[in-house]
Amino acid sequence: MTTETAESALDYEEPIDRVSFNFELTRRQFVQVLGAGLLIASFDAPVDGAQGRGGGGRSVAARLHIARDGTITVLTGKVEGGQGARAQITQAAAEELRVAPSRINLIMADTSLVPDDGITAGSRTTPATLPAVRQGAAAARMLLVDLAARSWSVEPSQIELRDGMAFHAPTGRRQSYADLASSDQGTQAFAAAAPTSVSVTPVSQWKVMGVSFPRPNRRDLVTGAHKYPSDIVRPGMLYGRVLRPPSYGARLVDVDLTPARAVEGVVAVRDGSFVGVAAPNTFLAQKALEAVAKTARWEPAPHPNSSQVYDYLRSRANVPGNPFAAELSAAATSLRQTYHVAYVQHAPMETRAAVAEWADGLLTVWTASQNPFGVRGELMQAFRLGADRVRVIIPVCRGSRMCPNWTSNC
Amino acid sequence: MDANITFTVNGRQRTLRTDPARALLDVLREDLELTGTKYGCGEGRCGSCTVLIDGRRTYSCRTTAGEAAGRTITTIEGLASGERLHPVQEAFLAENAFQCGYCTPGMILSTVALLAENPNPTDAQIVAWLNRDLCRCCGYPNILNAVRRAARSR
Repeated sequence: MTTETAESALDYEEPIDRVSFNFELTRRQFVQVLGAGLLIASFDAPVDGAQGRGGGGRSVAARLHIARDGTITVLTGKVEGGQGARAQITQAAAEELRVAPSRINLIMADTSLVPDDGITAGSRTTPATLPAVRQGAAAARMLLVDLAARSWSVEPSQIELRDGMAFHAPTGRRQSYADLASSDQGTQAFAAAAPTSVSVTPVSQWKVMGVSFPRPNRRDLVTGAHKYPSDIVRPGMLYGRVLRPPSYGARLVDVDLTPARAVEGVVAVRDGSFVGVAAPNTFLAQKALEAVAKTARWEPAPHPNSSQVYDYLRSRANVPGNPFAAELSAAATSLRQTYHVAYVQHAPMETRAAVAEWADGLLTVWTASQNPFGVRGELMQAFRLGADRVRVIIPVCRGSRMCPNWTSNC
Repeated sequence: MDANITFTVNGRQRTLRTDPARALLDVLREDLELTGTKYGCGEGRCGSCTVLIDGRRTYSCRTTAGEAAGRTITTIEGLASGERLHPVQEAFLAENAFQCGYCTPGMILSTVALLAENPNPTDAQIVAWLNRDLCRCCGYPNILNAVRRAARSR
């Protein structure tokens, strides 16, 4: 299994230590959170070579759950950042399950619950994740048809699903998805791997997909009700500030934390070159940070400056030969120009923030990122924790605009 | 040095004891749990922190709690009347004038302030007014449509 995927080849050259981890679905987690019912677990077949960045090997990932009360929960590792992933995944599941989109409860980017659908980037959700969601939902549809057929002792071909109900036209009988999920045969917390041949709904029969669909949480956006990662508040939460080095890779030689600790309610920590303060509000945290910053002495790492950086990069770049050399020499006229472009930082409107909570040895982090499982891997490494002790949740957040927000904030 | 500070927020009088030097933005978000107003730049240059103070557009990141004492403040949470949205909110919904939505509260309040001063703005006037509100999802065309729609609906 290759660790480089279509996503990473397209967009990300950053040197990141990929953590290969092995996450296991626990039955108990699902029953606790989603209740008993039908759980559709499927091998998410890679499409176009893209695959969830799950680390080593394929894993059985749960895609969909139908509770005994008929609640339909769909699970995805994709992130909503304003680009519409929530809407389209909801539509796709609704289409295949023959229900209105309002019936779909979509859980996104909670590493304790969802499959690793890979980083949200490169416009991959549509060509890679949507087929996986449709296959999972279509598998659920086949299972529902099968359950209904067996319960009535009829041929599956005589069963039609519509608006959350299974119908047997010849006899007029009907059952809801809730009925089917509660039935004796339906009461299984895990399905086997989904059938390998699952037929998704052809385009010509689409009723929900291909139709303009209003963004599910739009009202919350215009009322200010929506909670972005930087709006998350947890009991007993403190507001943190990190002491930033004057330049990349600088070493903290000396610092005095006592002025920070003199501010009421402030916690200050140092670990090597990392210094952080936390206080009951941001004003106090900033005061504490400024007090500490005054005492810090740094040893900078050598770097080229802004005027030297172009020659620095050029001397180290592996520039391939010009593939158009022949055309160039055959041209009537050729022009040559050099452009120096300053580094451009992605800057979504929401500032980078994270909330981290430790409880009973479990670390939960809310942050804005395109890569929940990547963040989880880095936290596992940083704090030497297993996958079951770290939970990363990406709320619907600011558009990241192709900016992989890694774990630094956490 | 903490002090008692009283102001009216979204129609309700609130009294807090806090350092008057704190930014109004922080007090709204951290003390009053009104997280609809956003931190974007901290310099009053992006519009994310826009509130109305006595009906006028104000950048809460550059306004201290002390400066807000005795004033009437409206945040994004205070625009709707129960379930009934403000016309500007309705206009933003109708025009899908958001992507990530982070700039949206600021855009909406800025628009409310504009239309209160100038109920029939020209496109040039709209742009000049909203030049102080940044969107990084490039939602500007739909946002402009929403402002035009809101102006027409009055």
